[in-house]
Parts: sequence; C-alpha cells; structure tokens
Amino acid sequence: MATIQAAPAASRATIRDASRPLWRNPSLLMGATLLAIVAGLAIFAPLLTPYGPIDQDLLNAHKPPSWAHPFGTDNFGRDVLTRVLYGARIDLMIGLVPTAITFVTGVLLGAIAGYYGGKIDTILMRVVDVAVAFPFIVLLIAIIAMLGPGLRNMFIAIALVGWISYARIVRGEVLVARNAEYVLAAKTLGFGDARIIFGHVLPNVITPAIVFFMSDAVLNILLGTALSFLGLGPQAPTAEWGRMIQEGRQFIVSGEWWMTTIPGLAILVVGVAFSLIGDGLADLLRVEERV
Amino acid sequence: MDKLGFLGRRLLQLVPVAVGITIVVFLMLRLIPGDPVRIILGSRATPEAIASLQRSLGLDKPLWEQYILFLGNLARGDLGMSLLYRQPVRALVLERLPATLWLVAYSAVLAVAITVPLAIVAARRKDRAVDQVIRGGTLLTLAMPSFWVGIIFMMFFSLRLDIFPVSGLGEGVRDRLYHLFLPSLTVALSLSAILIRSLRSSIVAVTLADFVDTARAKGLTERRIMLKHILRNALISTVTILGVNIGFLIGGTVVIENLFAIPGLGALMLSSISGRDYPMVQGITLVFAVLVVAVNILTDLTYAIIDPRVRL
Repeated sequence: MATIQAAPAASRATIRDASRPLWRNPSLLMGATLLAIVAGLAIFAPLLTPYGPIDQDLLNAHKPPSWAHPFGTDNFGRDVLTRVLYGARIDLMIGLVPTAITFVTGVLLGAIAGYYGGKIDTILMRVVDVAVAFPFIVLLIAIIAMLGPGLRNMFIAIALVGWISYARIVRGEVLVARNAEYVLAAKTLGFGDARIIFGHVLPNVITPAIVFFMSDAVLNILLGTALSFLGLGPQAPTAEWGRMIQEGRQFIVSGEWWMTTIPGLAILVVGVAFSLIGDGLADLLRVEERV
Repeated sequence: MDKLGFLGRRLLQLVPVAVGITIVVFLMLRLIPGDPVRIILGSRATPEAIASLQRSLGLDKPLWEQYILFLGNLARGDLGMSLLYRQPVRALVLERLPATLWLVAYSAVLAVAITVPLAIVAARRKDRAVDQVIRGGTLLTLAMPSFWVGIIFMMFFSLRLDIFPVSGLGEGVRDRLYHLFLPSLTVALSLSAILIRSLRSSIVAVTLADFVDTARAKGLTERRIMLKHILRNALISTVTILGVNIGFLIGGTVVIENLFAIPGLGALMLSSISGRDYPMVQGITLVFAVLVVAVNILTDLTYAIIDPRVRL
C-alpha cells in the first residue's frame, strides 16, 4: 500500500483543510444555506401557498403585490409567488441535471484522453477546438432548432456540448499526473488501467473539475433560463423563471414590474448561491495552490 | 514580416477547425427526428413536393456526396435557399450582419471602458472596502441573467426616465450609438464582470514586479507608472481573457437582439426556428462560428501589438 502514501502532497493538504470547521468558511456556509433554503421552498411549495402554479383567476389578473398575492398576479391571474416557488423545481434541475451529466462524461473523456494520449487524445482535442469555435449558446440554439423546443431537448443540447470544459480541465491534470511516481508504482504493481485511472489518478486530479462544477451550474442556469426566455425551453403553462420573464415582458409598458422582476431575482439568488459554494470549495480545497 | 508570418501560421492552424465547423453545420440537419422534408412540408404534402424538396436539399444522395456538395456550395459562397423567405440565405444573412457587428463591437468597447477604471481602483485599494464592493458587484453581475438586466434597464431608463429608446437600430452613426447603448451596455456588463476580476489580479501581480520599483525609484509619478508600466503589462492577460470569451460576447448578442428587437443575426435565427427554416439556421450557425474565429485572430494580432516581446 506504499502507493497510497506516495500520493501528491496536495491531497494531504485537502484533508487538513477539510477538517477546518465549516463556520471558518463563510462563502461555503452562506452558499449552502441559500441553496438549501431554495431547495426547501421548491420541495414544500404545495404547503407554502394556497394556490396552484397554473391556477387561473381571471378576475384577479394583473394585480400588484398585496397581502393575498405578495408578488402580485400575472395576466391570467396566476399567483406569481406560487409560480416562482414551483419554478424553483425546474430551475434547480436546469442547474444540476445537465451539469451532472456533462461532469461525468467530460471527466471520463478527459481522463481517458490524458491517460492514453496518442490518437484518442488528438481526436478529442480536435473536437474541442471545433466546439469552442461556436458561441456556446448559438450551438445550443441550433441543436434545439433541430430537435424541437422543450426541457428534455434543452438538456440533450447542453449534454452534447457542455462536457468540453471538464474534458479540457481533467485532461490537462491527467497529463501531468500520469508520470507521477504513485502512478508508476501502481503500474509496477500490475494494476489495471481502470483501477489506476479511477483509484489513483482521478482522486488526485478531480478537485478543479469539482470547483468548476459550481460555476458551470451558474452558467447552465443562465443559459437554460435564456433559452427558455427565447421560447426554446419548457412550454406554457409550465412555471419556469425564464419563461415567466418572457411572459411578463410585454406588461412592463403598463408598469407591471413584478411579473419580470421577481423571477429574475430568483435566478440571481440561485446563481449567487452556486457561486458562493464554488468560491468556498475553491478555498477549502485550495485549488490555486495545486501544482 | 514576423507578424505576417505569424498571421500565416495562425491561418494554417485554422484549416482543421474550419473543416470541423463545416462538418458540424452539415451534420446538424441529421439531428432532426424523422424525415426533415416531411416535417418541413407537413403531413398533407404530395409525393412530388416531397421528392422535389429532397432533391433541392440534396437529401436523395449518400451522406458523403451530400457533404462534398455542401462544401462545393460553401466555396462558391452559396449557403442554400431559405425555406421561409424563398431567397438565398447568404443575402438575408449579409443584410442582418451589420446590426450584429455593431452590437458586438459596441459591447466590447463598453466592456473595456467599464473594466479598466474599476479594475485599477480595486487593485490599488486591494482588500479595502472599495475592492470588496467591486468584488461583490462582479459576483452579483455574474449571476444575473442578461435578458433580465436588459428588461430592468428598459423599465428604468426607457419607460420611467424616458432617456433611451426601447428598441430599434437607428439611422446614422450617432443615432445608432444612441439606440444601441442599452443593449450594448447589457451585453457589456456580464463580460466586464469577468474581465474586472482578471485585470485586477494581473495589476496586483504586475505591481510587485521589479520594474515598477525601478520606475518609482526614477521618480515617475504614480499616474505614469500605472498607465505606462503596470496597465500595459496587465492588459496583455486581459486581452487573452477577452479572446477566450469572444464566444460568450457574441452569444450574448443573440439573446439581447431578441429582447431589444434589433434586426441582427440572432433575431433572424430565432424567427427561423419557429418557421422550421433549417437551411437558415445552418447558415447563421456557420456565420457565427466564422465571426468567433475572425475575432479570435484579431485578438491574437492585438496581443502581438501590445506585447513587443511576442515574435510569434
């Protein structure tokens, strides 16, 4: 088991820092708390509001914020607070589902390319070069244009393109790690490639990818709500923040600010929560000090 | 001479990327579930109409032959026919391109104008209150959806204060700068949040360099040291960051064009989607990729000009 002790110093630093109490890391604490609150509101939405997300009440349409409707009602008389709460379910999914998919595929592809090198690596890097030549959102719009709008196709589009960043990050790290002594030692012991990659290399190089996961979640929420704003995401009458902003947009002329302002603030809160967690993790795992 | 050689080599590196771009754009059509021709024409189309559209899209030939045909057409500048407008895609795209270019360039200029002073202030007052406020501001800005920021701007500057128009492009340079101010500012804000962070940390890093001490020992004014010595060096890394984010900048215009009703490529792309105008979507995607690649070469050249050490 000498190989385990020969792992780079960075991972030991990780363990030491992780033992630091959570309250010494305000970013992580604040971010995690915010996210937990939003998740709680999303899960318990039916208990928190007497209305349903698609319940119309045309007699009470276009109402500004009041006691009965703290965030006002939209043009169908639907309660904006209720729709924001239920919208959190979909928007948290937009932040997490495609990000998790691209994290797994990107890390795998990057690790394989970096570890084996040669033709596989060359092909992967060529694909990366081509993919970054397109503006990310344009490629997503083009894919959705072909597949048809909707939440599922939005996820497929992000999954097809979003792995690039993770593959790049992990490939670079693996290129360095594959010549490290602990990897050579594992090879000498006759371990298989899969065991070396998953058991030895990845645990030592995964940290930057984990930290990037958080900024990627912010990016995906912003992209997802933007696509949804453009009408390419979940279709009406689904309560989703980007779509709500799209629907409320025509009423800003008559001064009905709540239909657009409130869902945007919700996006902002979730984005800040993920960013804070990312900053906190970077601090906790000391990404910048890694060699 | 050096710079010309650099440009030549840079262009040569682009060949595989260009081929890749054409393959992606060509294969996009294959993502359509089912038969694109039937989807375009609807379920009540006659067999003759289906066969004729298949021929005009080249779908009756094997895949590789379709690709060669596609490349040949591209080489002649032919992007195909728009199904919706019944006109060549190229003409429609060229008509919309200037508005998008205006928006991209204007946003880049505004982003730099916001970034440089704020980054200097944050770096000079490192870890003090001003720095913290600017840092917090960038964190918030990065989490804001740009289309929402645009709507807030509209509500405040256009509807309440009535000092900027809600939409449109304007005629003539001055009017255009006036019309495009809010949309460009919206795109510029999120970009400058990224740029401020990087420029601030490179100013902090450069400030510690020996040549800054030397300049100070020579008795130069702080202002001159900052502008001539620190900023010029720090800007190099920021230009790189700007280059990396060109796709982000150009992509940002797509959403904002739709919000502010600016008749550019992004607005055309969206209207083509609802009309199932696939050749148009392909053509616009291609032009966007060309735009990113072209601006990237421009940033590389800028980089070579700012940094006299670069003899690439």
